[in-house]
Amino acid sequence: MIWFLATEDQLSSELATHIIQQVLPAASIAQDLGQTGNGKLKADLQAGKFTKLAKLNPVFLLTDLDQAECAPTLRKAWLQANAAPNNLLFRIAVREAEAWLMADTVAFTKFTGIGKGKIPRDLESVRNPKELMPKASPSYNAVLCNFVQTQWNAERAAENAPSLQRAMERVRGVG
Amino acid sequence: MLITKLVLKNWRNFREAEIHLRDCSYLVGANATGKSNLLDAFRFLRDLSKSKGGGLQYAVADRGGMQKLRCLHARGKTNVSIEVHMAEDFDQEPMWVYRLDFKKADHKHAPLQVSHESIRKNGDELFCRPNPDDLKDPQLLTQTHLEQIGANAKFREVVDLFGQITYLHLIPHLLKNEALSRSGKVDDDPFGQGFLERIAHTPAKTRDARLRRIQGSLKVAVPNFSELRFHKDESTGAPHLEACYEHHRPHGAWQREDQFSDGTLRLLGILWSLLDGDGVLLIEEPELSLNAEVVKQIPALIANIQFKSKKRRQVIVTTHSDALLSNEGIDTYGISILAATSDGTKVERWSKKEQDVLDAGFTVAQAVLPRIKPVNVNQLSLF
Repeated sequence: MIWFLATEDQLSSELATHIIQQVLPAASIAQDLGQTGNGKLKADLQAGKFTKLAKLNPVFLLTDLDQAECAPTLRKAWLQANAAPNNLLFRIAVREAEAWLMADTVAFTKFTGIGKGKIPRDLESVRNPKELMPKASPSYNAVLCNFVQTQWNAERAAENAPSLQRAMERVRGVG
Repeated sequence: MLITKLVLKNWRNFREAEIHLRDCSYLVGANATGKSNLLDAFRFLRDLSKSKGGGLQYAVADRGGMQKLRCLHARGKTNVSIEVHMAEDFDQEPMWVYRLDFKKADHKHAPLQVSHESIRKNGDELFCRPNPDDLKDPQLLTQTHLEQIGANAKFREVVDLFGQITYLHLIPHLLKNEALSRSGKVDDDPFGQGFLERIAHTPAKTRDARLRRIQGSLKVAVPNFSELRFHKDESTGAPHLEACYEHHRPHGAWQREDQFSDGTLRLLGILWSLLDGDGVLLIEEPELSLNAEVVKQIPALIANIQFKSKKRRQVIVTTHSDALLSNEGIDTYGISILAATSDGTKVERWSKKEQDVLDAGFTVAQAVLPRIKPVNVNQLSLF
């Protein structure tokens, strides 16, 4: 089965790749049809492109909740009256993909040198997880992508991030 | 007449390649996959078909000899081969098929030789070489029939089609610097000053009409741009382009081309070339120096000019621009993807999974570009 990704940016793309690979080691991943921000992602979704593609191949769509009220409201706003087909996994990181990163506290603290005590226990209640991350620089994305590829563990992170847990269950369901 | 298909063997970094062409074709590939080498096969055809200052020996020597021209991946003493299919329209059986194979001579300093040359018209072979004359006088095999006015009368149409192939790769730095431009060679391809000369040689009425059209487009794309005109310097006789920008001054300010921005010059070059002549036009990376929003419009701009022209000019574009390929109106049948392999570059069409993506309504950029993106490119910043 060939999976397509639909994410906001490179870091989310790296996370989505890692999640699918960890849950379904035999799955092959084609390409990310997003990576140009969530505006384009939403527009492509509302134009029915992902729905159409999902009839043939599973699509893992990942976006940040950001400051929206909650995941169901965001999903409703994006999908409008349409229902997502089974193979279109519309997943929302609460509130940002960075929370999923930090949720693997073992790897994250080791990688960044940030003390364990500085990472909130309930990461999904943090309004703006990016603020907890190391200071942004032009190589911010590259460094974090490298972290995901080499050290981050989705299973471990899922213990501290229910939205990630649910995303992984859905991936397992398709496989 | 259009070129519908090109088949190459052992040409530069292509061991074998087959390219299908449309009104507007896009050769998409990462850096160093040979996009320019592929365009050069078309320029080679043009150089071949010139009776003056052209021909096989010249065209090969001009490219640094067989050593540089023949594919590094080729094995043994192999031929370089080019086959061109031409028709009045796409989806038609070819009206003409021209094929040329050539190889190094057996002796070190002897000129290279045609090992096969043939042309077919509607399936019938007009000639096929080597023929008995060639066997009697092997010297004849140092030239193609394409370059000989005496021999090409029956397929002059093909010779003219090749002869009109134009390559556009305007280098603003060269155009702005007259001395630099003159030191390099100025021939059929406008890189620098040659472009201004091309404009100068156009009859005044046609030239003014074209510049007016270009002015309209530049007004949209270039902030504060208002007017464009041709001007011949009275003392030196040198041709110049001048543009007026709206300023705080009531009458604006006129500037010469050496003060234009690189992007303005590049766009001007693309627009002029699209309007100029009706032969095949090769455009090298039109995205260079231009704003992404402008680049996004280039496919539509080409299609529009083709549609409005009496004779549509066939266009072949090399690109790796996300913005350009995200135009939703691109004819996907004109897309060729250059993929580097350990056995030279392969030219491919989209795969089944890319077809699924295109069918779902996504753009060519979304469907095809991920394939040519270097793996782990973000790690470049961790240098």
